[in-house]
Amino acid sequence: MAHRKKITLLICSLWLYAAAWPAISAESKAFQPIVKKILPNGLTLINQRDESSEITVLYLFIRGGKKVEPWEKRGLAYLTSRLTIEIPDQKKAQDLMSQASQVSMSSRADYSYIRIACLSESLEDTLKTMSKIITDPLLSGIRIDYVKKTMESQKKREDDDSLLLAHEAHINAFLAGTGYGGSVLGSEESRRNIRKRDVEDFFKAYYRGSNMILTVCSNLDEKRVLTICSDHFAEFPDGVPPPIKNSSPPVENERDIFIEKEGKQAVVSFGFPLPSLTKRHFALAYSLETLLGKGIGSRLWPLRAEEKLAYNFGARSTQLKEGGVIEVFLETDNTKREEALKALEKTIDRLLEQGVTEEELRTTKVQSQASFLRANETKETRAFNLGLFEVQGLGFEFLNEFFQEIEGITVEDMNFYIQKTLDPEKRVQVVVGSKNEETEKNKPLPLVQTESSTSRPSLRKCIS
Amino acid sequence: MDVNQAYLVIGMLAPDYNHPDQFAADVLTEILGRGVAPLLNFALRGRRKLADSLAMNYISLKYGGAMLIYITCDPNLLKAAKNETLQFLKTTRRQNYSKKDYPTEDRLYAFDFLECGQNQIRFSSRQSKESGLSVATSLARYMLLKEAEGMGRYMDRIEDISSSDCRTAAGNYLGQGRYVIVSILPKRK
Repeated sequence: MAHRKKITLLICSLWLYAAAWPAISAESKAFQPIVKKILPNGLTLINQRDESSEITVLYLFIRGGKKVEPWEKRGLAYLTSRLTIEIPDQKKAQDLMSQASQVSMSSRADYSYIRIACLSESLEDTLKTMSKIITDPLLSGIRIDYVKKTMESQKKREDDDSLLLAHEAHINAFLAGTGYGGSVLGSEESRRNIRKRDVEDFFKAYYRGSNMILTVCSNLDEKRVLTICSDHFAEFPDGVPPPIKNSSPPVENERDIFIEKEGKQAVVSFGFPLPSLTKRHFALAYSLETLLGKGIGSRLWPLRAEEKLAYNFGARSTQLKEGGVIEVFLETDNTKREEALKALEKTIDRLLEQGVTEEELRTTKVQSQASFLRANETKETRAFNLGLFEVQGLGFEFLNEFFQEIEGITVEDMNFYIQKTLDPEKRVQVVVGSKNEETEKNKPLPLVQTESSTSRPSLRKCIS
Repeated sequence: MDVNQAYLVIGMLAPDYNHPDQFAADVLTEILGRGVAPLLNFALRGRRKLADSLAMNYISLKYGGAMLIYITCDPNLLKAAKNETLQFLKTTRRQNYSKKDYPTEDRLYAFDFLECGQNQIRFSSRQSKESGLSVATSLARYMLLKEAEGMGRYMDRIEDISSSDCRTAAGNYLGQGRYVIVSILPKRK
């Protein structure tokens, strides 16, 4: 009882806080000034000086992700990007290690990226090493095979995560056939189809100055960053990539998807399609995501806190250039799966019937703005989002314009958007769980073996 | 379990928040299990590719601490990965972590893992200043857990760590043979 009172008090305080907190005005800028330059080879450089720490984070975005791959060679964009950061010799690896520089990459639907983070005093040395590797990678057969194996094991790890499985099923349900379907890691067959020549052609076609965006967040002054980046990324040739040919096969849309995965837990979720990405749509989807499943006071919160139907809940929007998906999900016990699914459906139906009030929208807006501010607090996420907005056509300025877009949403806009987006006719249901919930309920605990082969007694558990 | 990969976690007792060894444990964690090519990477992915991914973490609490190594691998290689890791952990008390551990004429070719670990901590320390929540968490932990006097500035203590300190800490915590090993394997089909 006391616990419930505390939660009620907390929610009330949040509402009062929301009402009292002035929103960021259209004129004010939440973030430090951002500068955009185009280098002679067409490469876009977006730089933000931030003196909060003496580190530099840099993202190189390439306009070439899953969308541009031939369907039978899915995984090509990821494979190529991964090869561009393969360190060719131990000396270079040691140089990066001693500078504590970090290098990573990934590929998504509309783009691929390479991330470099380092101590600011090591920026020049780090880029000296990395830019040579990135601009002229060693695309040998041995390396390609090695990366393919790495991708295979990564895909297996991803398939062990029920939430990721559900997410991929939603993306496929709405976007397969558009080039956005499938995993960025491809399938066993599609990876096998990728030849050395494909990788070389992909690199030549997409790793071009005017097809890339470099975002930098650093404490170093703008002139220095510009000089260092111009020196080290001038090697990329200028030019535009070939037009995209969609080779994805058409698919039959399933409305009710069940993915079998043994275990005591299950994921129940609903997905809805989103329109093409615009500033307005981004702000509306972000607000809907907050309203539905971001923290205390969200629409899904009572399903966990009061009805005890989930140990985790959430909403997630995937906003791509030419479409997207918004998902709501509950992670629950297998035995509560049906009940959780019904409660989730009821929550969405209630929102469709009642819509949002002025007060709830106000809270949602404040929470969305606060969450966006927090999400972009570090150089890491800010450098990423600056590039993301630019590569997806919203423009890097959207980092500051987001607040204005959120402020511009009226109750009528939000309710219209809810009706349009959460239309039950468009809904896809995805459940990940075991086939027989009763079997799981009565199953004994996993086998535990103990061994004592080490010099001192130890506990070894083997769960299979 | 219904998984595709094998998951292995090796846990060891480690110094608590107020123990003087905590700084050496921080540096060791960076050297062994973090960054571009940590030492464990050489052991598990050098000659044979026994692991698909690896990571290491050190948690220091008021009354104790733990070091955890996380490995994912092919289920058929789990035993080999486990044995190789345990063998390697036993050698950590004898490793040369710094260039200074080598005779002068060999230093040119030696790699300074100690400097690398210290720099990685410097990077994380600077990065943590960007996030209000991260600064607040560090302060709260310090105010709640700190008992020892004269701990000094964290980064100063990290910079004072020598290769010998790392070997001593490795001997005390990693090479004692007191491990908790948890393996999760795919269900037999």
